[in-house]
Amino acid sequence: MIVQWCIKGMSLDSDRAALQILNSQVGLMSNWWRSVGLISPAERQQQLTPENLNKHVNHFKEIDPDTGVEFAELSPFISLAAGTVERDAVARSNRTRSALLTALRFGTQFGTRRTAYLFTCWVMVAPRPAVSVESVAEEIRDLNSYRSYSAYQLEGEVTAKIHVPDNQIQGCQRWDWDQSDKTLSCRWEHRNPRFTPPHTLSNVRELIVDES
Amino acid sequence: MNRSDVERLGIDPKQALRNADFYESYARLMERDVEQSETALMEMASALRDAGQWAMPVDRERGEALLTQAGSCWHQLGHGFGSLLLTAFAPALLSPIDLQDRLAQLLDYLRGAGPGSRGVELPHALTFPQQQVYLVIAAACVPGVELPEDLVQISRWPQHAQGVTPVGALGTPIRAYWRIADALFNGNAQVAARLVVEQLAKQAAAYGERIELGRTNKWLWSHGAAPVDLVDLDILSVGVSTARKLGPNLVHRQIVEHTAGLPDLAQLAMSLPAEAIKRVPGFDQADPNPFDGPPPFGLGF
Repeated sequence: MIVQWCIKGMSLDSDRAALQILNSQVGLMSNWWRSVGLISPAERQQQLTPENLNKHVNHFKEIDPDTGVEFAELSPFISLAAGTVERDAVARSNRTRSALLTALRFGTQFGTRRTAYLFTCWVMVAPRPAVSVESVAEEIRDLNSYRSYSAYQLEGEVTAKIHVPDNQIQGCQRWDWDQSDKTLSCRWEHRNPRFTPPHTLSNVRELIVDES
Repeated sequence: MNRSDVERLGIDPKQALRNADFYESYARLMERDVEQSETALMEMASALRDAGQWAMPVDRERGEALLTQAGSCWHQLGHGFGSLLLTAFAPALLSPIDLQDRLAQLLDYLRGAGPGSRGVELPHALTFPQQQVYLVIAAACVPGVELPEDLVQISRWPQHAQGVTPVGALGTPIRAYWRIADALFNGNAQVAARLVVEQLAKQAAAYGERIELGRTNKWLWSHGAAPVDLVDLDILSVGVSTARKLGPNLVHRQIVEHTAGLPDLAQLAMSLPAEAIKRVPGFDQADPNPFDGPPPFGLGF
């Protein structure tokens, strides 16, 4: 298993809305959960299918023939940016795909909004695809239609399922973009007091030194 | 490629400019840390590259300026890709002596002498085959760079002449780039221009297929967020660099000839180098074979 740091970039109407997410103690909810309200374990399982994941990755804003609404509105998945800047990958491709840039792009709705709210969190990622397993996030690189485009496309994008627990969210930042000045700046940052760092999951057993 | 083409592809030109502005803003953010962090310099280079390729169809002058800045950053990082961007858009920023030194270090490394055989460490990026062939092509196009006699032989080593390592945004097999390099070593400019443009035309056909794939997710595509380069920088920079070496009208005529039968999207990919070549010093505007890109096309967007 891999512990993966991620950033969720969100476009929200106000600081209040962002802080509400941080303070609600619910975590990051998928649109499906937010829309439906009450969900059961059986319903959660029914949502986690390869077909739904494909719709999320490749047909996010299209009308789902099963529901008649955009798939985005009822997606049980949560896209998270997890790209890292790795020197060798950059040497092969002449480009970086950092989580910060991706999250800012999505958070500003590709530059159409001036403010983005970035939530930093960690998730568990399985070494193999496991769509039906709620507790692990999926690496989507091999699942999208661009996989033949380049060996290095979309490295580092993951999707969490149903929700990201509150204590896996480290905090929230507000970023402002001034298009005319061409500046991006972090306006504020709030930490989650309930955050649990991932090293608690570490499988490294320290030596216990007897000092008596 | 121009604003109308971008619109016909299903992207609002204002979104293209917005993307250019956004990536340029990110580059400036990263610039604050470049003195302390190589990662920040890589991010800056990448963001400038993205800004430049979005600006090119809608504001060509700005696009070339951004790609020049990207090229400088990548060149500083030791990427041959950066050297190639500068060869195409700002050759005056390149020192032939520096390029020659880099080439000499690289060739020593390829000959098995090790990465530090000349007392200077080979940039890490140049241990990668992609950056190696970019540097070779750039060096072949810059006046004043002496090319070693065995470079032709090296270009024909099996791992080069038959190599399949993916290169560039299109993932083109590296053998194609080494064939371009080999053509540039050819003494006959007419033959060389034909061979290079023939190869670029094949890449342009692949570009068309990638654009079609990129449109699958319409939401990402219309926002310019699909992981597809609207402007293929390899086709553009190799085309312009070749024109600088062999003569702009010669290469331009080859583009006209080889593009005529291509599908519309492939013609679009070739239209950018064709346009850029007209600004290479020495281009005769009275050339009887102008190429202004494909006629207005309908792509069913």
